[in-house]
Amino acid sequence: MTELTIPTPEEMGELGALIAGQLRAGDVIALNGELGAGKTTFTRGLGEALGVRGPVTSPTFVLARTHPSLGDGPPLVHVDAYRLSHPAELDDLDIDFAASVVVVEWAAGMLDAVVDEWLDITIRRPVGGVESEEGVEPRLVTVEPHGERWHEIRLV
Amino acid sequence: MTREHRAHEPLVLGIETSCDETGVGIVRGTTLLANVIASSMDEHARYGGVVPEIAARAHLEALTPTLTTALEQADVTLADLDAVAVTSGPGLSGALMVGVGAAKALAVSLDKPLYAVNHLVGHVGADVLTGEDVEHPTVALLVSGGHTSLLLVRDLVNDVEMLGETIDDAAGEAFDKVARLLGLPYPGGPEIDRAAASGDPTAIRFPRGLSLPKDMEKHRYDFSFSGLKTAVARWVEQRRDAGEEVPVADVAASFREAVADVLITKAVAACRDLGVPRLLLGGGVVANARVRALAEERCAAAGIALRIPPFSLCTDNGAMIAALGAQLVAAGRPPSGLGFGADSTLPVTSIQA
Amino acid sequence: MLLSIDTSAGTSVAVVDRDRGIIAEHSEADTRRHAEVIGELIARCLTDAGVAVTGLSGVAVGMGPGPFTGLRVGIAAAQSFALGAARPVVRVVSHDAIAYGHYASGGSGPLLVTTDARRRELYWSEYAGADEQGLPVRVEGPGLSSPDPIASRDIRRLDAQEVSAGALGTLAEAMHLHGRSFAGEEPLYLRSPDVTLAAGPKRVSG
Repeated sequence: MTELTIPTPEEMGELGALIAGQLRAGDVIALNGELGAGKTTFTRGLGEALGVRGPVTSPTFVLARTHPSLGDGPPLVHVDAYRLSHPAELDDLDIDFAASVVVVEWAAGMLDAVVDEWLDITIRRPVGGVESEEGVEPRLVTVEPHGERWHEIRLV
Repeated sequence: MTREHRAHEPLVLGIETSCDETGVGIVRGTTLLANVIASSMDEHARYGGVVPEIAARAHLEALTPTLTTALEQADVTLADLDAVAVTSGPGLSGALMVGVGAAKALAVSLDKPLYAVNHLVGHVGADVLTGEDVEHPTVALLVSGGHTSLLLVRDLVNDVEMLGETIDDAAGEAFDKVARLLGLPYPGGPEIDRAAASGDPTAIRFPRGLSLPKDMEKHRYDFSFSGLKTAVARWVEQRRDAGEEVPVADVAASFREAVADVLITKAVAACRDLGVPRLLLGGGVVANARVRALAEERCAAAGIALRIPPFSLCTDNGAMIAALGAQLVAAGRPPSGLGFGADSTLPVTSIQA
Repeated sequence: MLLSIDTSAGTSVAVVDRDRGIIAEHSEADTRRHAEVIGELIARCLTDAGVAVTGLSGVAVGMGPGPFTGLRVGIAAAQSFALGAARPVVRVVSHDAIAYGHYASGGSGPLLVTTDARRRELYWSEYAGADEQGLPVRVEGPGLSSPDPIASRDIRRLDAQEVSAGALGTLAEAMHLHGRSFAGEEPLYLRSPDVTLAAGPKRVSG
């Protein structure tokens, strides 16, 4: 398990880009964090670096969006499991895990039954009080690999 | 227009299955002949949002009866058609695939050209069916459960540009989430509207996303509702944690004001910046009384001609897809062929797939 | 003459005739491209068969069992093609086409047909054999099962990767000829939409 402090949204996007550079088809990233923690910002940075067609926006309403590659890489499937309460519901979305890079927001407890290996990324923000419109508070990011695939992952 | 002239306008059937409405529309040129919609919205209500698998199953059940009803309403036969049009994206993949599969088979069986069109541009295309002269360029603000987009339409079939869109949640989605937080049912738009009627819109100053000077460089026409949604959630949680009662009407009114304000402020700014004196509203949000009122007020003040098509053409429907298809046919565009697929993230610049 | 469509596994389309058998058949084995390929496969079959839409007497379609997303594409296509052609749709259990193909090519006796249901599960149907007309006699299923109970069965097993629209169409012709009843209008998803009521809004404050 690795812990990082990410001071700004820009750097959150850069973390996404850094991880994107190490991804291939079949990889799954579980993204956890409260509303507004920076999950979409991370995924946007990841999507841009993967070279997929954007823009990456919240898939909450549609649950899953497929962003095709603009080159010859794998597509990014961006899932929001906020409204899901059982792994089978994730499976109902008929995602092509093998051929895609899949990012699942609100993934806690959803992946065990669906895939064998994934990278858990949890973004925490300072709690309590209302974040001011100007102020940007740093985020604490925890990265935890599940499975052999992720042992070599570089985070800085 | 004379009867003879009308007869030469393309007769097009449009199929729309991108979300939870199964829509079939038939138009002759810019004349609406039928607009039939079967909705599975009630089935999703208890889950607090659209369930893609339920939507897709409902499309399969509803599609043939909806087609048949539309043909009866329009009093035309399939053989009369000049073309078939279908939404190929953006939207829910599994739902889109039902319409795409059906439209392809229908076009082959009839030996008619098939046009795969963009759902969002379809919303803009609905405007040609209002019977009034439609002028371009126009700015279009499309807001629904799944979309919040500000478009510059220079030419409906040639040149549509995305000025900005939500960088996180769609506005309609924020309504759904805040409604849920306040214990109101899905879909959230009408519920918030109702609750807000007796509330004070100035009671709580919720944030207007991406409206600060620093945002105006990179995100001048983009929207963000995630921060607003979080601010509302925190405000409500703090009251509840303190054992206080939550003033639902005031929260609803203040939230709705924040959404309406930022939507209309950015749309009007786009019209001004670009020197385009026309604004079109589309999507389910036109049902929102405050959004409409604020748009009317600010457009009048800024000398912008505001267009809001009838509600039945603003929510997802097949007529708008047929209308855009007819515009493509009239412009002499080649059909899309049979090789396209459902595209959940089809960009607005792809008017035709 | 029938247009036959099955998308319970990959995408398969054929034009068949009671006397001439399979006249044209085109398939795509990829199980995620149904919506993309369905139109071209239909068009190609009609062209290869040299048959006009008016020359068809109906549309046969496989109702599954099969994974939802793809299965629906074939059924939607069959229904709207039939509407456009003003011809009836006849519905067939997709596994029956696999069993029919097995018996037609010399197989006999009890048979268990399985296809992939994803989620580490299988769709299955059990057959006693072929009847006097060569039609498969399904005695159980179609059902959904984990692989273990199926592996322990002492019965000849046919694990199919694809369903041939040609076999499905010729079976439909034979069923029609012998006055058999077709499958119902409900797609054989064999799974409910997996959705449960969520527990309410998630907290944003710590």
